[in-house]
Amino acid sequence: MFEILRKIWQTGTVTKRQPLAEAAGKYRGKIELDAAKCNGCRDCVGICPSGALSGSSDRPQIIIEHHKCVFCGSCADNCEQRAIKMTNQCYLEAKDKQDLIARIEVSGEKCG
Amino acid sequence: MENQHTADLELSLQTRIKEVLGNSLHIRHVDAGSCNGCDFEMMALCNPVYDVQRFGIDFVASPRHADMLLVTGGGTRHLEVALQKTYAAAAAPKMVVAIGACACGGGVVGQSYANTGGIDRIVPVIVYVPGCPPRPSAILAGILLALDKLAACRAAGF
Ligand code: SF4
Ligand code: SF4
Ligand code: SF4
Repeated sequence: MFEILRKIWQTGTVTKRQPLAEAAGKYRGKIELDAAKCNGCRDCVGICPSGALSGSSDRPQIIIEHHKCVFCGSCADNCEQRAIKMTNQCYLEAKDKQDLIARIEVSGEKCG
Repeated sequence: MENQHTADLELSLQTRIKEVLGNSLHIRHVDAGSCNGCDFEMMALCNPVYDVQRFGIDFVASPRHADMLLVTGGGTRHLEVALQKTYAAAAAPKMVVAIGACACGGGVVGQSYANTGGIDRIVPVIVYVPGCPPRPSAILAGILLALDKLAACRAAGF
């Protein structure tokens, strides 16, 4: 009993005053695609386990569906151009699903 | 001192809940076939770190008491009917918030004979909170956004 009270006293207040704080720097959040670096090889499309990335064969475009992404980071790890990176952005809530779909035109020299 | 401690979010959340709903916000959690990752993050909202009960948000056992349904999981075939029934039983305004990649768009499970691939194929969704699982604070931000949308619906006369 005394031990517990002592631990409570030592721990102090843990409740966050403002819960809507930024995530830790290493948190894997929203992915970011740099259209200037990407060459449209679509390796990331093949590796994505949740089908969040897609691209049509006739145009150099990568479509990111953020609502499907599971933040695994495989695309960022496997992109040879280092065009995709993970950010620690975790607030992605949206009223409309269309807001979560990004269509990015890439340079696409090697596309096809 | 206690008031000072929680002042920041109280302004945005508690007053908003009072404005939109009258008093407090009651939430019913519906598991529509999740892996439990999202459920744990959601329950973390009640732990001492986030402690959402201080803002007047509570998780209730019956959908009849709930203003909002937080749905996790991609809507598996077994739980499709359960979700429909829970939605029908919830008190109006029925706000459905999809929590996690599974509920928003199928996640790693995707769309198949056993999984609907997003609960918006079963019930209307008001706010999507992506993530696998989303952080508790992101869920809280989603709840806040849902209140905005509800206020807009009320103003438009629905
Ligand atoms: S992001 Fe990287 S892996 Fe994906 S298409 Fe562009 S260059 Fe290829
Ligand atoms: S982080 Fe994972 S799930 Fe998200 S787009 Fe990249 S590979 Fe797909
Ligand atoms: S979104 Fe991820 S954590 Fe949530 S239920 Fe689906 S697989 Fe589990």
